[in-house]
Amino acid sequence: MLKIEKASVAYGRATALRDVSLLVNAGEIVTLIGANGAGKTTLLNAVSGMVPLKSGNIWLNDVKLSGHPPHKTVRLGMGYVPEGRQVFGSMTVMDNLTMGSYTLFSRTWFGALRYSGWALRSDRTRSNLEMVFKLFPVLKERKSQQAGSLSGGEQQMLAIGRALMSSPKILLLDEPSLGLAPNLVKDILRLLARLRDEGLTMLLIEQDAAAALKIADRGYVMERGRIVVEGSSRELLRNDEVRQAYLGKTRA
Amino acid sequence: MFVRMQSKAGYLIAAALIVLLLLIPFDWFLVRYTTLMIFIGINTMVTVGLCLLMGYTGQVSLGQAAFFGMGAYFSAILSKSYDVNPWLAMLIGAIATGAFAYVIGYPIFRLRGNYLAMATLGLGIIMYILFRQLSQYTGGPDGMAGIPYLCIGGFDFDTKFRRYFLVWFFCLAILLVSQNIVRSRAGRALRAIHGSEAAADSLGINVAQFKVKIFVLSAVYASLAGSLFVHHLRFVSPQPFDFIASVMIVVMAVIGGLASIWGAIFGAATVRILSDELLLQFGSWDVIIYGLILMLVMIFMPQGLFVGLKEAYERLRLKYTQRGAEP
Repeated sequence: MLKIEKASVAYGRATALRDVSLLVNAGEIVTLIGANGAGKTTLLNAVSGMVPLKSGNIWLNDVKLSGHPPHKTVRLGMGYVPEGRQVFGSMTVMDNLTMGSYTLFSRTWFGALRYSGWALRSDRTRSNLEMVFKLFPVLKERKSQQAGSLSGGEQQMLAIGRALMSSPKILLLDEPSLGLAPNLVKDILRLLARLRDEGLTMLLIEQDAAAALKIADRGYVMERGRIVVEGSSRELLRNDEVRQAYLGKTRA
Repeated sequence: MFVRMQSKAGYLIAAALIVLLLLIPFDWFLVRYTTLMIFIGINTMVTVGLCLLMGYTGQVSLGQAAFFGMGAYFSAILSKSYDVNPWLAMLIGAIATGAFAYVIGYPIFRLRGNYLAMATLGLGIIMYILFRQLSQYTGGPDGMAGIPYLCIGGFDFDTKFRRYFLVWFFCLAILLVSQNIVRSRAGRALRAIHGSEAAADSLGINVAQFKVKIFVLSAVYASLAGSLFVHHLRFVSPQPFDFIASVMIVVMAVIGGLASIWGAIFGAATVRILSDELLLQFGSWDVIIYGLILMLVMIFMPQGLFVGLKEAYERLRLKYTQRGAEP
């Protein structure tokens, strides 16, 4: 579904990605692991269009993504859960979610003037909203609360829910476990697995490699801007180098 | 927190305001305040634009007086020197100012925070210098007089009484349009940009374009206000569009409440009443008093007078209802 071909990115003279190729098939969770500064977030930013590619191509279902700015890639079917949640703290939970389905409304100037009540009357928005509330009942309870007053875990749920509101074909998650208690991390990852079982495709960046590989179908390991190891989760969990470097286990 | 006129109290206050607005120009009511109210209306129009830009989108502009002045000079020059119909001149002024804002908007909004403030500040100063120096068109520092009144089919807006209604018609129209924008999908997008540009981007909002659009809108508001301003005074000079004017617009926006559309009236009214009525006796010391007021508002009512007073009212009501509920 998502195909990255030999993508390179440079920030000024510093090269952040070198010829990275990666494939995400429909209906699987692919995880990207690696140390800080390996280029994981850069890769995700390149896919979402926040960072321009120096060379290479990115395809989503035969549609070329590279070269489009982020607001276009969202319309092409990208859902993006940015690092550090980035919920709109001064807006209510409900407003945050409605924002998520921003791309589903008409784009005319006149449409821009219509009351927000319209947003919720659209069928697709409403069914997406129901789905999100079913996934995260706690968000329904707190829908009129300000997003900034939610706990870290709830904010993460909100960030994921918000991304789901645009009916994405593929969801990009940048460290959803960042700053969460271990228990919550498990909950969030379990939920992602459930979403996959319902047919969603995901590219997941995680620091917690062990936890990520447990739910992922396949994984890629990045080091200094390159993909160094790739394989199914089971293979990676058995790979000695990976175990040593990222899973904190010594050779058996 | 965003103000919505949902409650019954909100409607009542709005109704009271409208009645007050209707009564003020009549001589038997508040005899001499018609002129003051005209200025309040004109300032409100500029302030609302800045509220949308600063309070909702989170983009600072210290150069709104430039657009205010552009509208004023377009109207003045076209209608006086070139005998263009004043309404047409006003329209041309608004379109030209909007186009100008659009062109400079893209480079200017590549900047953020302090740098954006500096750039808009520069814009304001440059326009002020142009107003002064292009004296073959603008009349230079002395200004130009004898600008015609606006009129609709033989009905001249030649008395304060008539112009009062003209200005407030425009002012309320702008307030309503702005309120609609704020509550709509576009308004949520603006607040999203304020909250987090990265997240707004990730939801499919064209951040750069939205900033420019709202900048253009605020420029058009300011330009319309400028046109009404010169057709009211029938005189134009660069002085009302200098750097201090831009700062005063910011002060009005902050006092009224950056993130509230209707607060703009309160902000403009407070500043105008202070400067035209109360602070005259202090002479040039008035700047200190403005500073003091600004500080007090920022400390005690960081969301501005409108929201601040509303919250104070809510607190009072809560206090009384609780007292009543106790045995």
